[in-house]
Amino acid sequence: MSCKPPWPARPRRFRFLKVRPLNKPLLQLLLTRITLAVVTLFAVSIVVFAATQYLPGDPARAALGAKADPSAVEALRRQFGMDRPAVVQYFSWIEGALTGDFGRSIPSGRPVWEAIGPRAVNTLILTVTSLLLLIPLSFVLGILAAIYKDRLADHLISVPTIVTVALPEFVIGTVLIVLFAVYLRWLPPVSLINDSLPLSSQSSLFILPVLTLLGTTLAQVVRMVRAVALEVLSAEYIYMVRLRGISPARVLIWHVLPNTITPTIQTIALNAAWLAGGVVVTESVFQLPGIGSALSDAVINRDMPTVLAITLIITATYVLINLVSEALILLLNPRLRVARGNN
Amino acid sequence: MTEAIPLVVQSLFMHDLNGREIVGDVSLHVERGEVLAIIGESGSGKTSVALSLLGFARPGMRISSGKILIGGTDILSVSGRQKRAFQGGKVSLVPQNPTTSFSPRMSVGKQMAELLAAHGHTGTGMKQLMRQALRSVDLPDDEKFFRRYPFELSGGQLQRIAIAMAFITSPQVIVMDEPTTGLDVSTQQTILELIARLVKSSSASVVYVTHDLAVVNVVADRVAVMLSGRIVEQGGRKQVFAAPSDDYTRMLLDAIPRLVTDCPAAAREAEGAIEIQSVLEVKNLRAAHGHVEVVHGVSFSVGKGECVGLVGGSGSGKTTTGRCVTGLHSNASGSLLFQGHLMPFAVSSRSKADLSAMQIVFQNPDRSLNPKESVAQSIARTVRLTGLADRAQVGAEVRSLLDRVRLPQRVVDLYPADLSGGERQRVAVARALAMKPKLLVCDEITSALDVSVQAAVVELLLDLKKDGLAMLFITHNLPLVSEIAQSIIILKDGNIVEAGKTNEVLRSPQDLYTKMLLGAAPRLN
Amino acid sequence: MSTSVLRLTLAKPAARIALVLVLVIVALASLGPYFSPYAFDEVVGAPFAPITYEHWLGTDFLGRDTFSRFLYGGRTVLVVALCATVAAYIVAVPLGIYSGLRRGPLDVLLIAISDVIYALPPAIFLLVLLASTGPSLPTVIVGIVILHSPRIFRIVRLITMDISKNEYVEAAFARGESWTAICFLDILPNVLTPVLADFGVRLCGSIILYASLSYLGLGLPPPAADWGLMISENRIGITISPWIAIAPALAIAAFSVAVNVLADSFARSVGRSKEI
Repeated sequence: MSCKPPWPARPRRFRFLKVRPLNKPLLQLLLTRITLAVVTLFAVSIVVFAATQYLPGDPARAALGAKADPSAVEALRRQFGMDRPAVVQYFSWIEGALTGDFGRSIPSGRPVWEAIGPRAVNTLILTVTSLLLLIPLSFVLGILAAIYKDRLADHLISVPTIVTVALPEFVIGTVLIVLFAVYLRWLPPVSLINDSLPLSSQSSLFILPVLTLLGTTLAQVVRMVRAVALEVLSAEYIYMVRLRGISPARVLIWHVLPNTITPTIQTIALNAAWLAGGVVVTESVFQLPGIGSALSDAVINRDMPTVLAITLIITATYVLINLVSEALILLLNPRLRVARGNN
Repeated sequence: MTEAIPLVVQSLFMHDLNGREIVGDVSLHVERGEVLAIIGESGSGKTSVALSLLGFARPGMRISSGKILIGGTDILSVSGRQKRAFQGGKVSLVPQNPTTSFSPRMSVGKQMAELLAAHGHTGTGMKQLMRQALRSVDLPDDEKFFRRYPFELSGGQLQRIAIAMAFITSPQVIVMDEPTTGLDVSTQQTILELIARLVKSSSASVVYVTHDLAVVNVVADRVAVMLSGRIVEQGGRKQVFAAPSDDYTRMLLDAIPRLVTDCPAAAREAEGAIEIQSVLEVKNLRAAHGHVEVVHGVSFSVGKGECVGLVGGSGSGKTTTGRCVTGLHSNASGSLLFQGHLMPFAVSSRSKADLSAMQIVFQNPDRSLNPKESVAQSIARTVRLTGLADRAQVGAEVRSLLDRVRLPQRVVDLYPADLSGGERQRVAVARALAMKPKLLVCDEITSALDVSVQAAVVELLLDLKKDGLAMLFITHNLPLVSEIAQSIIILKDGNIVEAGKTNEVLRSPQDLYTKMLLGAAPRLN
Repeated sequence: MSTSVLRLTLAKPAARIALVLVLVIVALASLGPYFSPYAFDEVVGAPFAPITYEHWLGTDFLGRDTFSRFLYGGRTVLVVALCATVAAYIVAVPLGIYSGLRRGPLDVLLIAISDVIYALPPAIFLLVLLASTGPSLPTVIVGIVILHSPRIFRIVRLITMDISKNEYVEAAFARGESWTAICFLDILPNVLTPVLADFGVRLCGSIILYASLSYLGLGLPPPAADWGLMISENRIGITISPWIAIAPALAIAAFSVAVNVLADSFARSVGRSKEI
């Protein structure tokens, strides 16, 4: 056995992505961001919890219906611990949430996690697939549109984006269903995932939901990448590089791309917020059993423990995505990466 | 003819996308080792011509006809790989603004290597060439320096690298597009000397584009003067400067501020100036940005009808001093005596009378007027602040103010976007005068203007001074200040290094920094 | 000035088509109910009846006339989206200008609040709000206002800070002009253009948000006619009568796309013309 690592040395071509050992200011910045993220998450959990407590509307009464017997409502409140002071309720809830115990669903009485746990896998597949397609596609299309600004390739990319960016997911989903399920009959009109069958045999059920999610987010990110790339392309340093006789391919890969990445990471992270809403609607359109459709059902049933649990999970994911994007931006910034003592 | 002339331009025409002519019928040629300066004010098309020599037109413009022969080959007739062999190889460019001309996420060493690799250099020979080039522009040539990112270097250092890169491929033609304009005064001089030295030792033909006639005097063999896209005069430098044949050239030459060391007017006024009552007295002024002190105890006074020049390079604290005086910077200590009484630093705690008695006019004409207000609106608003309410009276006052700054009455209903830089600056002065100030603080008010416009604004200020207005004139331009100020104060790093009557200071500077500034001011003869 | 911007906005044929579309849909949604052949909740035949001369779009899952319901169904989205967006601007613009100009503790507080709202994905925020109060139109409007405001606030604050660095504002302070004069004469006119440039985009966002809520059954409660709701309540019949879903889907799509195209064109024209 040799002592060499099993992977080859990092290819020279990607040196601009190379992360040097973390230096102190960078580490401090990262720690600040992480602390901020945790603080934000707690603030959000308090706000969300307070909303369920102090806004008009009694979840126990809502769950039993307006004409319910007051003593039955009272019993339900006691059963779910809703008669305790709000602060006590919050801490017992957040304590449970940190250990994966989100309490019991009001109408069914089953533990919340039991109901949403398996569904979370479906949602994860849906969103991760969409993101994996979104990132490379948006880069390629956005930069192509910028390079061929106001020419055919740009119009072919930009015109559809300005249309789809304004479409709600349920419109795209409905149109896709009518097209592919009703007329062409290639794919089923609903994506009822069967838990007892292996997921791999049901992958076709994810095609339309993924396309729906991609439709809106891709348009948004492509537009942003195009705008950023246009700005970079018209920067003075790009002209200077070109006037040094550097080949267009090199200019693109070494000078345009690195300077387009940072603002785009931010846009993609921001779009994750819209992706969350998109997931709720998309899952409802295709009746795909995920946590998004579980959330909209829970909202209609006023099942507050489930609403709180799913909200916290989605928000935590969103905050995490933003944290990762911020960390990436920091790591890619040569100003922070270098930070040598001398000027 | 054994060898082709390195650069020949034959009747070049450029148009913008609306078909407006940007450059018309420009023909010129530059011999081996010769420096041709293209002189013009902003909008004269000089930069467009310069960039066209690399076969390039800025977006929104196109080269419509003409020939640009580099060593006998028309660069406009080739494209792709062939054209790229010219760009950076046979013709190179030194850009105007070094800080925005380097790719921000690549080390400077790599950018140099990239250039050389694109023109066929490889391996150790390339490294050697890079070291040699950096040495030739007085920069360190070690590995550590190569690894620096552009943001780690100063504007002057970056411009040295840009110059090194322009010479490194031994091109036939080097185009320099205002290479010293974006730099600090003192850096300007050293870069200019560097360019002059490199040009002398190389055999390249150089096209040097500038608006600064004084710079031309240092580097050029021949000059071409451009006005609205056309060359109005072309010839040997000495001949053009001594006996300009074109009216425009003559005007440009006349408009250049000259270092006036024995101005009779200044001397006469200086005699009587000892007894004059002071409008403003600044004592031991200290000011800080955050926790960093940038002005360390500055004292001076401005008398009635006197103009005091506050001179220094960037970072000297001259602008901060001006802002303290006008109440825009209150993170300060010391005392301000205005018209005999103590005045607080913050605008909010100053009396109405004090506020109106002191006005400021700023450097940038684009930002000194509200784009949503017409000239009449912005002046009238200020006039009303003095207590005048009657519509007709306000209107009459606005008209008389416009007269006073010598603006035609037709501008009253125009918006800032419709005015030229010089006109905007006059409106800003008129607006300041509307408050009937006793002291006018002028913060670099001419430095964003073309030479010819500059001269007119200075003339206006001289007129106002005659009417008894006291002025604090903040500038980096020593020749300019010598035309207008009776006494000057030289600031460096937040300290006064020299102060006194203008002609005394200029005739026999005591401080090294003053001498340096005097030396740095390029002169015509 | 403003006429030139208008002309620039409508210079491209796409923008003119969009304007016509917006007008047509606004007319359809607001005047439609007066021309509807049947009442929106009147059962007129068998469920999912096909298209006939009497029923241009057939009948829905309860046997109501789909065309009549379509004519009724656009009002809510129009009113909710417009009210919420305008209200958001009314709330956020003054706060943004104040924050950008005066800073101070209120600024810090507002930034903190907007940070928390930013951390919640918009749709999730609305769902939590509706879950805790129960679905109602005023709550939806308030929710959308809360979602838009911090975003508008941030932009206004940044632009205000930018503008207040301009020398004409400094000169105004230095000659002793009042805060009110500076706010109304120097800041507001210069803030308004860039801020209004994204009014259309936000309106489009409001349309999408409300329509999606309506689709999820959280807008107007049944039996009311509402475009989003019409699509989801007839979901089971999509293979039999796809046109029930297609008509409202197209209407919503056309409306939000047209608004977006106009907004885009307006933003470009504002960016292009130096004045105004």
